Amino acid sequence: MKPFIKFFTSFELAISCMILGLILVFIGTLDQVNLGIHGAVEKYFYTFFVYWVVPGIEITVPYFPGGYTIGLFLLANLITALIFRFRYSWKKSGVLMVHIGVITLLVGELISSMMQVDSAMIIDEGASSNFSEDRQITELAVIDHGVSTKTDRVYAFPQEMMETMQDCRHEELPFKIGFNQYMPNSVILRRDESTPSKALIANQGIGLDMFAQEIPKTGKMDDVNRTSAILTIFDDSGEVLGTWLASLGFPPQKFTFQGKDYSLEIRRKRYYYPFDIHLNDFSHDRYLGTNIPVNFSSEIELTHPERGEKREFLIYMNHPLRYNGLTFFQSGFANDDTTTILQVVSNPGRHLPYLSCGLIFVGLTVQFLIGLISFAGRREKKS
Amino acid sequence: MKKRLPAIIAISVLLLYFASNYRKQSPKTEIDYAAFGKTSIHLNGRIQPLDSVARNALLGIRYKRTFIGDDGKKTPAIVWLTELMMRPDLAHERPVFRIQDEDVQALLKLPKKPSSRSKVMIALLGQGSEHFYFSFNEIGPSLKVISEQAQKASELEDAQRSRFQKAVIQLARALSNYSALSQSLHHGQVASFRQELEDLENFAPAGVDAVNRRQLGEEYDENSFNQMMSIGFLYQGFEQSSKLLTLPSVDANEDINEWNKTSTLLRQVLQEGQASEIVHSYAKVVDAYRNENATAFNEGVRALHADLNAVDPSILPHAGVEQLFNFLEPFYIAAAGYVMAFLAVVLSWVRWPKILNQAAFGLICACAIIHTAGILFRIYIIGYAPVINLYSSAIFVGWGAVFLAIALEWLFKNSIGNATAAIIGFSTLLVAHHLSASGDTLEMLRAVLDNNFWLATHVIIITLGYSATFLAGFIGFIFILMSVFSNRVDKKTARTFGSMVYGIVCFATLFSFVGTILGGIWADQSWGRFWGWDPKENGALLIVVWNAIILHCKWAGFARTRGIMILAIFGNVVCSWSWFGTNMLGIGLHAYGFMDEAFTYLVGFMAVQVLVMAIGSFPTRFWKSQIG
Repeated sequence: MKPFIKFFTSFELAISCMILGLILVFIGTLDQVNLGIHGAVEKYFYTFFVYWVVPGIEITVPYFPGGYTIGLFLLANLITALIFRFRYSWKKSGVLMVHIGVITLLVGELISSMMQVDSAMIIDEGASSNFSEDRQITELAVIDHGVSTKTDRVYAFPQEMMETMQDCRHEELPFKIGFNQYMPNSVILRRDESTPSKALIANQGIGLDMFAQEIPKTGKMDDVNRTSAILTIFDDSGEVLGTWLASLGFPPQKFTFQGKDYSLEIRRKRYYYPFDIHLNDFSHDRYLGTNIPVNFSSEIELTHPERGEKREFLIYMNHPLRYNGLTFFQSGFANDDTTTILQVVSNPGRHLPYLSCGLIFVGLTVQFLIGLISFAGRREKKS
Repeated sequence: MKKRLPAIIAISVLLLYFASNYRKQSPKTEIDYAAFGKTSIHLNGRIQPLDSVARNALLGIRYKRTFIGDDGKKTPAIVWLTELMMRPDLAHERPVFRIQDEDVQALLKLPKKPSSRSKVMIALLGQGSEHFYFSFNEIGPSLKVISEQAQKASELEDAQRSRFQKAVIQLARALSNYSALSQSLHHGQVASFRQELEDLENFAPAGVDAVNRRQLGEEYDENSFNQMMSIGFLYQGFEQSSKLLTLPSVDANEDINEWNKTSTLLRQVLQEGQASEIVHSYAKVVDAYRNENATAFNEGVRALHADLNAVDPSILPHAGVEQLFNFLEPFYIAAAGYVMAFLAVVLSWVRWPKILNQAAFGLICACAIIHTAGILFRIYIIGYAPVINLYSSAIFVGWGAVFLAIALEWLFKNSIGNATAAIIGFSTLLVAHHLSASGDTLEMLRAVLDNNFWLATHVIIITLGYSATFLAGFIGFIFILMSVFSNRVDKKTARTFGSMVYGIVCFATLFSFVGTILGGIWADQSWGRFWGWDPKENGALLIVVWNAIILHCKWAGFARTRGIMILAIFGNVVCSWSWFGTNMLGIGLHAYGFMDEAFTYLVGFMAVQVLVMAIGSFPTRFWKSQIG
């Protein structure tokens, strides 16, 4: 036990973690140029190890501790040091507060890294929406148009099923979907003589004219991963109905099965809410005579039928709407300033940084003042 | 009194320089350029004096805020702008376009120009310091080639452009800015602006009548109609090519609700039968200039100002403050003062330590006041907290470090505070000066940043964190050089150095940590996320972590005086990377522009720091000072 405590409470561990963290953050930031912020975060920070893919033989070798490893060791170091080594006294009260603050900061970031969900809600002026779309994750949606004249029923299969090429089936669907190929990112090209034979198996819908060619995934802010899949629909007896090419950005592709109309599409993963947001007006003000934006704002009306709530709200820069544990903030616009794009963030750990900020601020200030007073005292003695 | 004498003398010298610099700002001509320069117009989203327009425009073209006048002397930019706006034919002869890139020079197909610098200066400053200036008329024949090349280059991403392509884009921008300014007050198609206005006002009823009749299908005067069409055509071109918004207009509540280009005078004449007073005054000024009538020019300017005052009495005084700020050049004067102070400190290490150090301290305090005044001017002019862009962050980092260093000097009186204040004060202002070449540094803030509360808390605090980190680093820098190469440092001095750096690192940790977290809270308030791993955020984190490493190394006993100094110097590397390096990555919400030339300097700066760290790592027995 003792050597363990000695190891975990040591200054050596604390300083090593900080130096490793420094290097990790530095190289992770540099690599953002290649991977984009999201890509770099996944590769360096929200991981236990940073891996290197050996070119040619496709083996991944961990070569550096990732953000989780460093963070957890630092957390262990902080907690054990506070329990076993720290000598509690008023003179060190500031230091204590700072370290507790750092602990909550690390825990907060750990929680956000695992539970924060970012998505975008896109609303046209005069229209409403009750869902937002994930910026990264997609899903395969099968839409049953035969439920009633007014409503469709949507069956959404998560991205993991596409990634692992599992067959998609649902008890209420009379058919199952199998994947022939899954491409996390692709470009769509027109079919011609040079099209690889692998792509020619699609024999329905858009896949008759187009094909998808796989390209590496991107994590850059403005680039989109165009997820594509070639999928085949079978009926219960295993008979093939046809093979489709589905790709993010394609319109839903219709087909008929046993006299009922269906369509399928790959779309961004949707999060549905029990409330509606209606966009009354979007404004985009610029400084006179320039293109520099002064303000973007969305005048919205929020309706929550179950709670009987209905209220108006103006979302603008630095003034998001917080509702139901979600934050809606103005992130963009489209269609000649008639469509708003609201970023929707859910982060259960978002309150912790406030606590740690308070602790660290008070702690550092107290410690700084204690140091200053004792320094002044010593000077006085000397003179 | 006698004790203070060195400081008083030093400050007086600085103030004399201040006064003589101020006097150079208004040329001694019959034409009152200073008065005309105060005229308020609207550009880049804010009201500013023509004096600022002139300085920033010339900076973008000639890379200086002055030009060489007919007398061969440096002349304020407003003289050039006045000529460009009123007599473009003369201005086109002036060699004001600085073109450094040899390939761009080759595009112009002109005989090689003699360098503007003497051979001695070139030998001293290097080949790149040669400046080549061209006039608009010289560039004129190649305009098409330049715009084609610029068009091609602008299709690429900035990072992929070659040096030539960047230079050609820059030249194309300068040219377009230049020609827009040349047509901002008058289109120049007729000699007399006043005559044109009179003719226009006389003709308007007939012209409008002809157009209306034609629209209604009635009989109309074809001559008037055609004349109307050609005027419309002329003014359409005028509207498109001009850039300045010169005419404020007032709504029913007597608030200025809009600023318009001079070309809208046509609408005024057609709708109301006459142009506004302001247009008439501008016409008076333009005609007087063209007729070389200084008295009429000055009268016209007075009338123009009276008209602007009648619209809104607050706009001219505000522009006047900005003009005063331009005239005073507080940052330039402060930079000069810091150099003087540095020389005094260095001399004090050789002779008259007490006197020279007092002089240096006096100078630094005076510079700090001038520096502060400059920042206050900027706050007043633009109405934002002091740090709004990279330029102002450089000014503020220097300001913070200077005040911290003054506090150190006050406490320790050992000339180290003076030396670091002078070095950091001067170098940050020099950095700011180079950053200002991108144009108007008093820019309006993009919507995301437009929040004075967070600008005043997060940005200020984190910038002070940068200041303190640099200060600690420079003290370490001086310590290593002094103790390795001189015998001035003894055990006691080393300890003093140690406690100075320790105190400053504590301060730096406090400010950078709190500033970083406040940034996170701003992000959470605005974007619903606390931390996004954006390069600038990561840079701030690196500074916090590095300062924390220094403190822990000290507490754990891993590093003593020398070790702390070496670590503190590396703080300079971390801090400069976070400050500038992250901007060079050009991604994320915080990126405000790629600066490739700066990259070389940044790497050079870092290399020097690492070199001094290496020198400091030599065993102490090789050092000249014995620090024990």
